[in-house]
Amino acid sequence: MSRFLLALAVAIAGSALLAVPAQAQNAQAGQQVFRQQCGICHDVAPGKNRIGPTMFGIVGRKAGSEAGFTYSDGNKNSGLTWDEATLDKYLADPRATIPGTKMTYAGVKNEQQRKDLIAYLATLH
Amino acid sequence: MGLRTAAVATAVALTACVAILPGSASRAQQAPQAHPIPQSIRLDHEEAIRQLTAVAQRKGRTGEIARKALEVFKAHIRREEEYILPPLALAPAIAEGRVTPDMRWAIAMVDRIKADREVIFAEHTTITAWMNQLAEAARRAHQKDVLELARTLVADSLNDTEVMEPAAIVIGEYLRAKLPPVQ
Repeated sequence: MSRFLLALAVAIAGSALLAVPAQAQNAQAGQQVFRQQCGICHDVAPGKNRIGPTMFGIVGRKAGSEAGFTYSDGNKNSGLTWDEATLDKYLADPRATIPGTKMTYAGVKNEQQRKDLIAYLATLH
Repeated sequence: MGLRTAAVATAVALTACVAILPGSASRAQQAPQAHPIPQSIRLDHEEAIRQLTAVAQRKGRTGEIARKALEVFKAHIRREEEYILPPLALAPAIAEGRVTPDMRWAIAMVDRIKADREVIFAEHTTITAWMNQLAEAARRAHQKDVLELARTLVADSLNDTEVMEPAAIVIGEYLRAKLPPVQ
């Protein structure tokens, strides 16, 4: 009986793993991407702007609107609100998405890393 | 680059001093340049190179990254000193209302800055990427001084983009407007 239960548990666990889509977002992996690629300029604490604005509350925020940070005109006038779609586009190629941005960053070219990063940013509330 | 939060004001002040004392010791020690950069910025560059070189001599990951970053950094500084920063040395004279035909060289430099802006921006992007790597390695190695250096250098890079390059362009465009066109 115990072997049956063990086999059942393994089967359920395996099914659960298979059910997870290959492209699932992983906020923990995104945090790693953030540390490696964004952490020199951005903080995640509320109101703590450095070279770049704080990422706290970024999802849902209007571009160029964080108090106490001096944005480029390009960013201020972009008319964007940061959600999954706009962040994905911007993070893929910042300079092409917002011409005149002063963010000296080439972008996250790996799609999965972008998804993970956005998933992490979405946790910052 | 270097600690440049107040760099423009400092640059103007120190450049004025250098202009008044052309035979000063600090200038005599430098290799002659056709169009020198403000002395304050020169000192910042020297300090940044000194600190990054010191990290590059360390063993381990931070040293390894710093050695690679140093090459990029030096190349960028060469570019800055060649044609991005020299127009800023004219700021004190212009601020006093002096514009003379022998300042025309700055217009050509500024045209070059404008033509190369995307290349220059890409260099800053590369520097930021290296500083990100350096900062992450420093965190892992508990090297707080290296983390601070990386943050300082990336801030200086932003200072170039936000202040120095636009200021140089403003100087060039001002001269273009004030000086009669060459026949």
